[in-house]
Amino acid sequence: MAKNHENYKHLIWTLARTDFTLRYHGSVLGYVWALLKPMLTFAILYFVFSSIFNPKNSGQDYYAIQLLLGIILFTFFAEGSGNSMSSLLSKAQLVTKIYVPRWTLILSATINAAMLFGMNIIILVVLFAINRFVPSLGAIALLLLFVIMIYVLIVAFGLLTAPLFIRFRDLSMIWEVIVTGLFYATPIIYPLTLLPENMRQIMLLNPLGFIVHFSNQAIILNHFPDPWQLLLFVVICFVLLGIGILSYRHNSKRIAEYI
Amino acid sequence: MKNSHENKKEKKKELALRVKNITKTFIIPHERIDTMRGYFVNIFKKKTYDNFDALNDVSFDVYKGEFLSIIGKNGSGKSTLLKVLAGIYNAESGSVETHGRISPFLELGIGFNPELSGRDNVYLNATVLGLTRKQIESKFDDIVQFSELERFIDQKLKNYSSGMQVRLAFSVAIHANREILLMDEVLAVGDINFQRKCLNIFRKMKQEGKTIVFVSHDVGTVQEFSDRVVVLNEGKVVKVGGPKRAVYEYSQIMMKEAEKTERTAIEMEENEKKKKEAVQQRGAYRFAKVTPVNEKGEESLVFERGETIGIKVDIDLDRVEKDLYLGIAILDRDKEAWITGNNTYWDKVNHPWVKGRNTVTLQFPDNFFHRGEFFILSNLFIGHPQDSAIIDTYDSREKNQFFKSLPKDKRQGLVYMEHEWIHSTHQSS
Repeated sequence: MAKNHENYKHLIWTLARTDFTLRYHGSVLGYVWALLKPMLTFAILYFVFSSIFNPKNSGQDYYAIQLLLGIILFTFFAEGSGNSMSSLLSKAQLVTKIYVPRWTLILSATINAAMLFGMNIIILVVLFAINRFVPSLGAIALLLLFVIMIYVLIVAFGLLTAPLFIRFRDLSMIWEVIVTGLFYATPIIYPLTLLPENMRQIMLLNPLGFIVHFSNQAIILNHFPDPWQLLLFVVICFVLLGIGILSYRHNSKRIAEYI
Repeated sequence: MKNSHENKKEKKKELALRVKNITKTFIIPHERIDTMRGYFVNIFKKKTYDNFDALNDVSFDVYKGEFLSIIGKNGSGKSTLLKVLAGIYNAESGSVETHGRISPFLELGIGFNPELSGRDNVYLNATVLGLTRKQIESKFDDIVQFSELERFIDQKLKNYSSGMQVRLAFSVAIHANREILLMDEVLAVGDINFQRKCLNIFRKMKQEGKTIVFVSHDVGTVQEFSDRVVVLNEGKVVKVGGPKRAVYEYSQIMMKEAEKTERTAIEMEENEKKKKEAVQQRGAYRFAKVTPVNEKGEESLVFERGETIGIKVDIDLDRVEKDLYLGIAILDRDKEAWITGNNTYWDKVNHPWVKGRNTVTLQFPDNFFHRGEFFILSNLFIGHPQDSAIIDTYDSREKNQFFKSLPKDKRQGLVYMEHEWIHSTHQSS
């Protein structure tokens, strides 16, 4: 009704950057803290699982890289989905006291998660350097595609859940439990090859499982998924995005009243 | 002057906002479900809700360069209307046609964060209000200057006083101005100097040809500033017109409202009285007589200091109620101040109530009253004194009956207190 923002990009970016600085208090130490969380998770899991089963036995020379990559990709999704779900409620003032398109708030939350992901990539690069490991260009391109697909999934998820979260406040708790389960259902701490053949197919139905598994395959072994399979995956991601958009359109009309 | 202004508008009459048949309905569920758990638990339950029409077929036009006020009592839908105009609420039906861009002004400092500096908050708030980075940069100095916060602009907002925060927020809002401004009553903020400054700004804005839609229930401001006024009542437009007539209409509504509340108050009082009368007519519990008595139990209206004052209360009961207690207070006649108030609940008296006549006497041995006249107030109540049901009241003020304490000597004062004088000396050499 009231078009006040010809420049949504500026709005989204400002909101995302503000949240990011606020979260890490704008200090260098703050950003170090941001890196510390995935690093510690990685260190603990690496310590525990490389002593439980010797990864070298199952042909995993680069367990550390594989584990870290998995953790970082998964954290991206977990943070992004959580942030975007609560984005409208945590910015309630921008919903009830002024009109900005509500999807800009959701989007700024996802960008915030993307910024964190960008920082986490630094750790990965450092680990590559330590191992003197250089992935192929094709592998990097595939990884980039997967990162974009995770982002698409996060946006779809945000559009679907943020308006619902306003009405159902326990959604975040339910989602936390699901994310914890999802972590173990994704081949992060174990390789997919550890599972029997029929289980593997089921695991790949989980989009995150698909992404983490094939990222690792590509980066470490330079094995790529079947192009048709990949295309189907991309299509599914965009279908989910479409569902998110439709559901957002349907649910966003009364947002200001329910908050 | 106002007339010439209006005439000018007659000529132009360029439309800024056209509000057409806006209806806004809120859905109010009888039982609000706000968790997934609740949703699934109640999935088979029929959900019942009420529809509340906050706005009902509201139409009016706003012309360019006009100061239009929307006035109405609480709950008349004026804030809802403003939110619909701002695009925050979607109306069920009807349309808002805008010519020019709107800057809503429903709350100051939207997006302000205490952890950020004043500077960052200006950028953030202005961005939310729809300014581009370039616009903010060019206006930044003006914003800071207007807020008079040059020295503090790089400090964190949490170190600002609330007045400073408001000033900064208002300053941003003023500079984010667009062709059409929607304003909720934000005038009532800041100190008087700042308020004057704001009012002058409004005048200036009007002169600049800005369209202002102002929501208020402050008749004074409305009359001073508006060209036209929309009066809302119960979600409907009652009147659109010049400020004088509209304000009259509004005060008419308010008067009716006041009459209504007064009527209900009177009705309630009457009901209360009737209830009491009914109880008394039933005569279940009632004071037969309340008398001040001396130590022999004889009625007495004059006491000397040191004597025993007794208050004898005769109560007639038709039924025995076990939670029945008695309270007696003594009031000073001039000041009507409570000297002492006691009841048998706090004093844990075990009343052996019987059907028929009961006599309870409260004795104050050794009267310490010196010179004065005193009323007696007594209540018969059931249950805990703080939320008791008062059955009957005896108030000697109603009949102007009081007892007196006469002084034995020429001392002064309401009461006599035990005392001694001490005289100590330090002889100087």
